[in-house]
Amino acid sequence: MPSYSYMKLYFSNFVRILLNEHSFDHITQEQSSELIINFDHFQSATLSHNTFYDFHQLDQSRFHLSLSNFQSLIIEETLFDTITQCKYLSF
Amino acid sequence: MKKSFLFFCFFDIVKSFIIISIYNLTNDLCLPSKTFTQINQNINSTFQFEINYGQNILFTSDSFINIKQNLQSKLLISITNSFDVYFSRYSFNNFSQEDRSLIDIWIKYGQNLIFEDYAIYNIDIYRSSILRIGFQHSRGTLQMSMNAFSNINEGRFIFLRFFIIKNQITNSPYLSSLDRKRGQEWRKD
Repeated sequence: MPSYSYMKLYFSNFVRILLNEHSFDHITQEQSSELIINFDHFQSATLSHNTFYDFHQLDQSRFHLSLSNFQSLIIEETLFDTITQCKYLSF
Repeated sequence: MKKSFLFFCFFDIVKSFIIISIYNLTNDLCLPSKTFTQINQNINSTFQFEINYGQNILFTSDSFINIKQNLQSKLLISITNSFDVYFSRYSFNNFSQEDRSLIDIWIKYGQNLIFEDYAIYNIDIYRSSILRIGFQHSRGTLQMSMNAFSNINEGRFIFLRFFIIKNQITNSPYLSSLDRKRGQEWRKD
C-alpha cells in the first residue's frame, strides 16, 4: 500500500467467510496508509492458518480488521505471523 | 551508540496501528496456538485486540507468543460485556518489553476470570515498561493458580499491576496467593 493510500473492504449480510491460508501475504503499509477490512452481519467465519503473514507497517499507517454481528468464528493456528510496526524495513 | 539511536527515535513518530475488533459474537471463541506470533512493535505503535459482546473467550497455549515491544509501544487487549475469560497454561508466552512499553489486558463487565498455572509466562519487563491487568465490574470470581504468573523478569522502574475493581464477587480463595505474588513483584522495584 503506497503512502497516503486508503482501502476499505466492506462486506455485509452474507452467510459465510472463509479466508484461505496466506490470504493477506507480504503486505507493506507505507507512510500514512490505511487498510480497513470489515465483515458485518453474517453467520460464520473461518480464518485459516497464516491469513496475515509477513505484514509490515511504516510511519503512521493503520490497519483495522473488524468482525461484527455474527454467530461463530473459527481461528486456525498462526493467524497473525511476523508482524512489524517500524520506521524502516530491515532485510 | 545506543543512546544516540534512542535520541534519534524520539523525534521520529511511527505511531502505526493494528486493530482487530470483534463485536456481537453469539458463540464462544477460542484463540488457538500462535494466533498472534512474531510481532515486533516500535516507536509509539499500537496493537489492539478487542472483543465487545462476546461469549466465553479461551486463550489456549501460546495464543500470544514471541512479542517484542520497543519504545512506548502498546499491546492492548480488552474484553468487554462477555462471559468467562480463560487463560490456559502459557497463553501469554515469551514477551519482551523495552522503554516505556505497555501491555494492558482489561476485562470489564464479564463473568469469571481464570488464570491456569503458568498462564503468563516468560515476560521481560524492562526500562519503565508496564504490564497491567484489570478485572472490573464483573459478576464472577477471579481464579488464579499458584504459578499463574511465572518467570517474569524485571528491570528498574518496572510495574506489574493487577487491578480488581468493583466486581460483585471477587474474594476467591486464590486471591491471597495473588497478593503475595504482587507483594513480591513490588518489593523488587
